[in-house]
Amino acid sequence: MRAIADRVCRDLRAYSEFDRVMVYQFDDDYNGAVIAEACAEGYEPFLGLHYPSSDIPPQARELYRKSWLRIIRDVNDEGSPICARADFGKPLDLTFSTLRSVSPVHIQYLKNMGVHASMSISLLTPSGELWGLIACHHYDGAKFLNYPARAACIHYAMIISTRLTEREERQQFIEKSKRREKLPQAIQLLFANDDVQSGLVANAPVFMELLEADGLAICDASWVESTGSTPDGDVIAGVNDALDEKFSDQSVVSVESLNDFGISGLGKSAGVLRIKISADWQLLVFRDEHVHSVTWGGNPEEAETLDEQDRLTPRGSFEAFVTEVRGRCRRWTSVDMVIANEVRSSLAAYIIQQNQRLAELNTELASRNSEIQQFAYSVSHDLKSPLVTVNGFIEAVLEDLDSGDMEEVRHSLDRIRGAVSRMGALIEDLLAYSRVGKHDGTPAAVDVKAQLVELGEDYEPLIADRGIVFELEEEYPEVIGYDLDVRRAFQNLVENAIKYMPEDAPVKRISIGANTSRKESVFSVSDTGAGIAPEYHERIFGLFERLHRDKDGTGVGLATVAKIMEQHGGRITLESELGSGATFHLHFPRAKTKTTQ
Amino acid sequence: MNDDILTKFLLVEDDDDHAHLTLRSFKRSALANHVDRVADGVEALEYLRREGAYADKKLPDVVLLDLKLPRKGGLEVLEEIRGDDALKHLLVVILTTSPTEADREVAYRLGVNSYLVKPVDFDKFAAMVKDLSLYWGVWNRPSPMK
Repeated sequence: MRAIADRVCRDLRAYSEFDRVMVYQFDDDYNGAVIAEACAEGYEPFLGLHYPSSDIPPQARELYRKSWLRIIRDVNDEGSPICARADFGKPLDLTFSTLRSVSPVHIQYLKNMGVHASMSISLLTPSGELWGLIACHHYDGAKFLNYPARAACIHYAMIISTRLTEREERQQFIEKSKRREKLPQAIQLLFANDDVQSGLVANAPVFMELLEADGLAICDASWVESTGSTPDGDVIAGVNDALDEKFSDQSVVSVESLNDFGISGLGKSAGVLRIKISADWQLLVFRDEHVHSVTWGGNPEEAETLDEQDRLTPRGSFEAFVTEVRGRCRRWTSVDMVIANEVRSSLAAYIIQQNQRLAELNTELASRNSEIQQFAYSVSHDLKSPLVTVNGFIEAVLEDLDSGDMEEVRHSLDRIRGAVSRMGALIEDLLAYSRVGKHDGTPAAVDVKAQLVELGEDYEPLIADRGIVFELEEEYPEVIGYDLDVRRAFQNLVENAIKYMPEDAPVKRISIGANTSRKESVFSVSDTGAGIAPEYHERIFGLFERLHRDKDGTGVGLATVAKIMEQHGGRITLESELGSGATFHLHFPRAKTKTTQ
Repeated sequence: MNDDILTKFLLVEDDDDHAHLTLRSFKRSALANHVDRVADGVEALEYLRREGAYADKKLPDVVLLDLKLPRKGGLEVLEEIRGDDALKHLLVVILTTSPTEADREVAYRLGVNSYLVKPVDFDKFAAMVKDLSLYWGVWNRPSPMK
């Protein structure tokens, strides 16, 4: 940008032959600084000098925004009054008049500087804001540019305006992008923590770098936590209150000089930027005092004085005048504000996400809790039941021993043995049930075909003994899951089918088919047994639910299968009518299997 | 023995061993009782409604109902009894191994007459059966509405 400005000065001086051509840039408060200059030999350079905003007052700036060029041929020219028609009725608007006279204060200002003729051309941002000026001074006599030359200058200023502001915007954009890049990473770091506040404390250096801060404080109504260079906790609370009073609940506000609030004990900190995250708490970003000197074109304190006739007069001296700026921090730039706003929205989004996650966890916990309660209840009932049996028959044995009824004793002992082995089976089954989904590894492709063939071999003696036909297909699709769990699901279903196959069934067949759709692979275990009435189709998958009164069933087998399917992101369904066999369908999702531990 | 002077119990119990022990306890009590047993909730309602094989059964004086039953649970049976004009006056006593508060709450809401938890100790169990047959069979006078 400086290079462009330098070039502008050289080109325009060569073209216009003014003694001095400067590019003058405004800051946010309309103080100006000379950022480039081309000057005839023998004149003192103005480059780097600052001028207070009062040097170019608001009404002048407003004029500069509207008209591109002003020229004063000779500061000593006498103006000629323009007489309006008597019936015109209002003052004449000379905004767009190039040859109009200017304010006597300005003429005096130029004379004080030793300027004989001057021209200034506006530099505007694309949105029409005053960015700066090209100021041309001539010292050696009057100087005038004719209309075509002026038009060329205006045209030139228009092009340069675009170039300069574009360049500045691009620089801001690059800085913004560079800093913005760090934001997702910073937010990501928060995820490792339990809550946002402790996350911010733990990762304070990252956020300080992001906001180019020296210190960081998080505070709510009763609590302040700070890191880096900040005032003490009490003072921070005071700063926060002062900001509340001045800005009420604006989400992002900044102050460069906290001294203005009359707060003592600020220490090194001079400025603060506050990001209100929620109604309850906020992030205060502190910057230390930035002591620096500014070289003014003349004493800025004398910018406006009154002369003997109480007229406003410009200062008489333009000697370089150095002031030291104290009690202020480095400027909070528009990029700082943009980043602060993005930090705020990212944190807000993160908090919402956290809350959602918390709500989900709570729901999950509640459902787990009721599951555990149900489980404990069922276990206590089903484990206590055989104990009642054992105890009761021991008592019976004692009675029968007294009476010598050995037949009855034998019978009671059989019952005791049955109850004990039932308890053993129940405990085994419960362990298997509770182990579902508890694996160290990750889900992998399971060769179902190999598993089913093996299953057939394992049960071969039992199947043959009962005269059952066991039918498998040639091919089965793979599923993604845990080998042992998938095997147990099939095993439980096949075992049930064998166990509950009526001895007098006309056809005794167990077959396993498979079907694949876009979304899932479905394995169907069918039997020609007694079938299950529709009203029990849901209930039989519950823990300890039994349809049969036989001693072999613990009521855990199908619940285990259902749990396995759930863990694999699938489900189990049942198709059956009383008297026409049953088919259990295992639906495994085909896409990536989701498992929960 | 005249059937009418006996207190008639219907024991709804799926566990053969428990049924055996309950019957043994009844015998021990040496009270004049008649106990029929069915093994699940569906059979219990068939018995009470005198359906199928139970066509010639008389209504019992007291139903001893287990909670955890195959096919139809004890609480469902209780609900159906209380919703059935012909059965709602029946004395129903829950006899279970489950001390769960939730079950108890539902059982009383559905209008159970008493809720008993089976003790593991057989002597206590036998004493309980004796007391319950004494109380519900001898001392207690049921509502005259039938």
